[in-house]
Amino acid sequence: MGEPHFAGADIDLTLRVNGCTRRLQLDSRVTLLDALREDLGLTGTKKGCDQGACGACTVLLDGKRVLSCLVLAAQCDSRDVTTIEGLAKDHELHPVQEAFIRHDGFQCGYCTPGQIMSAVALLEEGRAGSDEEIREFMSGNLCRCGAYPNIVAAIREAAGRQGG
Amino acid sequence: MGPFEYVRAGDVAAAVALVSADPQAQYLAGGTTQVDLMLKDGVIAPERLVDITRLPLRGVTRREDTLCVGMLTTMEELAADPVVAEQIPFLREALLAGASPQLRNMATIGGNLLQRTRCRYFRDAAVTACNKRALGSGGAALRAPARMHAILGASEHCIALHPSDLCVPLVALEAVVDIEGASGSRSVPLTQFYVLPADRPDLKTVLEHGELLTRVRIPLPPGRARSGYLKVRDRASYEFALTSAAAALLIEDGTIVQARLALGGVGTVPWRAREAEEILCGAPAADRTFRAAAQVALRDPFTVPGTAFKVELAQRTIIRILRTVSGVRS
Amino acid sequence: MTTATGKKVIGDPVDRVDGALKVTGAAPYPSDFTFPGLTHAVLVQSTIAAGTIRGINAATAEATPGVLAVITHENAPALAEAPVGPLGPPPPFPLRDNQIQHYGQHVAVVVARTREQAVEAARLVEIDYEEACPVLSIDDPGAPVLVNTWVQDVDRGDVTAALACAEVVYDQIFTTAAVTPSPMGLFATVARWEGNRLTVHDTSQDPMLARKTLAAVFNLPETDVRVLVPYLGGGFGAGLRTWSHVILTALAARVVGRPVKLALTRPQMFTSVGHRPQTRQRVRLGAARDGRLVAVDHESTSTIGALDDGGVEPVTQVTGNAYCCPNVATHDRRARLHIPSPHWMRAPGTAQGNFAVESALDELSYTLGIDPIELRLRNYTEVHPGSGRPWSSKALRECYHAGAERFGWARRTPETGSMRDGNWLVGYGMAGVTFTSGQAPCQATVSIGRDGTAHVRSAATDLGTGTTRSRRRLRPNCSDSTSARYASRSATATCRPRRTPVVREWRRR
Repeated sequence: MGEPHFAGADIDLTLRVNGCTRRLQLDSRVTLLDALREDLGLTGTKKGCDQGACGACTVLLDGKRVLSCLVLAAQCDSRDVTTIEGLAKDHELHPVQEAFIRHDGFQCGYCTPGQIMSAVALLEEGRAGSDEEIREFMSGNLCRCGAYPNIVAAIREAAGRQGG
Repeated sequence: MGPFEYVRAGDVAAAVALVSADPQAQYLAGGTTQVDLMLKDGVIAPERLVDITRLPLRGVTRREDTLCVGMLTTMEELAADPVVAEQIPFLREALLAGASPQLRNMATIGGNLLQRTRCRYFRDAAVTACNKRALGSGGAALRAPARMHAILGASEHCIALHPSDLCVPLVALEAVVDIEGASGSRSVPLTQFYVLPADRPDLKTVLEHGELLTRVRIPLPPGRARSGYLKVRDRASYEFALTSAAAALLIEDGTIVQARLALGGVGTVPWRAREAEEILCGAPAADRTFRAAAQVALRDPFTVPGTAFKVELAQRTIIRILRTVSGVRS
Repeated sequence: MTTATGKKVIGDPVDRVDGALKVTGAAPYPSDFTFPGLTHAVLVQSTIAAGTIRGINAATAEATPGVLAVITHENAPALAEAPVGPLGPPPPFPLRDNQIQHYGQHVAVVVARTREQAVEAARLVEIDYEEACPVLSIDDPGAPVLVNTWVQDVDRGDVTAALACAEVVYDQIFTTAAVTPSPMGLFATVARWEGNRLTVHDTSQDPMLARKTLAAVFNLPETDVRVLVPYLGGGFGAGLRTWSHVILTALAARVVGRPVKLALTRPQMFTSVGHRPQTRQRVRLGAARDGRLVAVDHESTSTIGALDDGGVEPVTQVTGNAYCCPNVATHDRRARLHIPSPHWMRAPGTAQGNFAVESALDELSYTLGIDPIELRLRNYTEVHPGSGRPWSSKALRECYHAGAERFGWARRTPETGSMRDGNWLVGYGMAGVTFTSGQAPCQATVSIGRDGTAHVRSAATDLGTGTTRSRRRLRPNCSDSTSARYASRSATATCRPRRTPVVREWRRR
């Protein structure tokens, strides 16, 4: 039939993570989240629920924001993954990262990588036209410390708007 | 569960042949249901997953008065389609009311149609009384706290709710799904696709093992029809419906000429409210009509103490969406 | 030595010192740490709420690929008792016997090379239970009700007599639900032994207690135990106790002879790290027609776990201090249930207690036809009601006025449902709260290097509250010299300092 066929216990994968090609041999059960954290040493992406309810594990997959806890690593062969570690370029923070610091868009910081990745995608999607729109389209990212007003302010600034 | 075998299918026929021949094989698309139930909840344990995400079943095309949607189209992609935005606004509203942006980038239309119930007893492997997982073992939700459960199409064997928002306008529009199987192709109207639990709650749809959804064909409503989707829930966003309603009305000189109405949050299957539509057709677009339709739509509910509130809430939801769509006292 | 002059200490906005680390994902939380040879532990939990374990069959689990150990009460090495902490006794000890005290109790730990292998094996551990009938409801007559030994009931004046002759009596029951702290950061522990020295990365709000507990349990000198918490993903009180999974992780590492990481799952976070207990309260108020309180009687029943001696949960503690009232009685009780141990969650006890008393006053105001703020003002107390001593400072009256002005209180119409904003019914309410705070001795160590760098060491944690940033503001003004540098040393329980220090570390670039 010609289609690729992988055994369960040692699937060979090639991922492009933050612009670098990485080769892995993984158990079929491993999620993209765990592959990033445990096998690639990229612990910036966080596990808040491991069941698609909190958004802390948000990364970009082929440029689109997804929940890495519900993506099997095996499905990511030959695909592009961008994590929080891949945003800053040459030691310069991404404008969204800077805005989060300026507006204090976090407290404990655990949800922050997911918030920022989601916000970067939100801006790409053109959904920061108003505070209401920002809130609605960031609703997949929870923040237990309650930094929401500051997160909205940070995104508003990054979108280059003033006021609500 | 142990490591499963992961296979990436090269074409539709190969995928169908693989899964049809192996009772332990299942399809994998976006994974938001599959990975959840397998790895997180541990309630299903297929030995082989056939990844269909790279098959050419993605994209939206218009053929005259029908919108053809490939089953691997994501929720976000469909919501962004210009024909949907312009001609079927309540479809777009329902899509964007569901899940979160991240999930909508992963979840496919096919996966949405086939998503499993959120019933907390179904998803808890430690609960043995679940007729869906083990026919005859009992229905925990009927004797324990229940709230996010069905009141229409329910029975003493099962009150598990169908949680999809997308399916609500789709059944209102009489969408048709195309199916590819080992013994050939067939098409089924979505209104006949889901099986009421009745005394076989372990069955979900009319699909045979190995059959693959390839496309959904959506008849476009008349250009002058107005539509809307209202989702009522505990939180402002990112939460399943307590009740929801999709309504499309064609009104001429204050009289409802055509009406489609479907309900979410209340049915064991996506619920087409045909009797309510009969009340609406030919009647004036006014509150007394809407109230009569709402009453008929919720006739004969099957409730448990935790879900009884949904009867009135669903009626109010219907009235509110009809008011909004018709422009009467909205 | 220069004296601090001129500059404001607080008020100027300043970016968080750890901001760049957090927004780049570089700040390490407990589950981010890894060591060579790291293995993974997964918990097996009870699926019944009360009863006993008749038997455990771990053969299939143990035979699963990658599994290194399945530890249960049948084979766990004996450990010593955990010590009492500053907020109460330790949680019930793990894997001690076959008794089940609550649903979700940890009954086994599976250790494997990968987390997926450990999860698979955990599902294969077969446990045979003898189920008993659990006591789960706070109203169950079978639930033992105990006096809350951490709160001193107030008995001031003669409440019974005062209620009997009050012009108006208000009597109502209030209930509050159990609430879980649910921090975003799943609690995780990474334990590593080097000989008889133990290093633990843990999600803890009290690393000193964690160190003391682990040292006691494993019979080690405290100097051989390190507990490291540079960052944690929130706590809200959940990290104030050293929970059983922390001990189990260190135990697992000992048993398998390799570093072990254990991260609680989100469902486990609901049963493993405490929760704010539910309450059932009765508030009786006696008042004159002009609103002055003549009697306050506040009863509360909260909950504790089956074998737990509970901790400080002072539901009625502040009732006696909040208002001027000559007759006050409080009764703080706890019902023992087969539930996971409740424990401190932000504003323990007083969150529930203030809710009941302030709601009661609110409803009394309607009965009397007196504005809710006015009612508070008529019962305002300038002194501590119990002792008669004046407060060192109290600006609550000013707060009432400022709040009233900012919220447009003057526009409020008190009739229920009388105010609307489009489709929304709008209501204005207010409450004042009282919260007890304490002080304890604490220490920090400061050293200054030859290059001018100051090192400050303490065992405080910053769970997002910004202690790192706020302490930066307290640097002495000898820091006007731009060449001064300060090194940061995050929460490390290796130092002699105890408790929460006032001074902490920061890094200035």
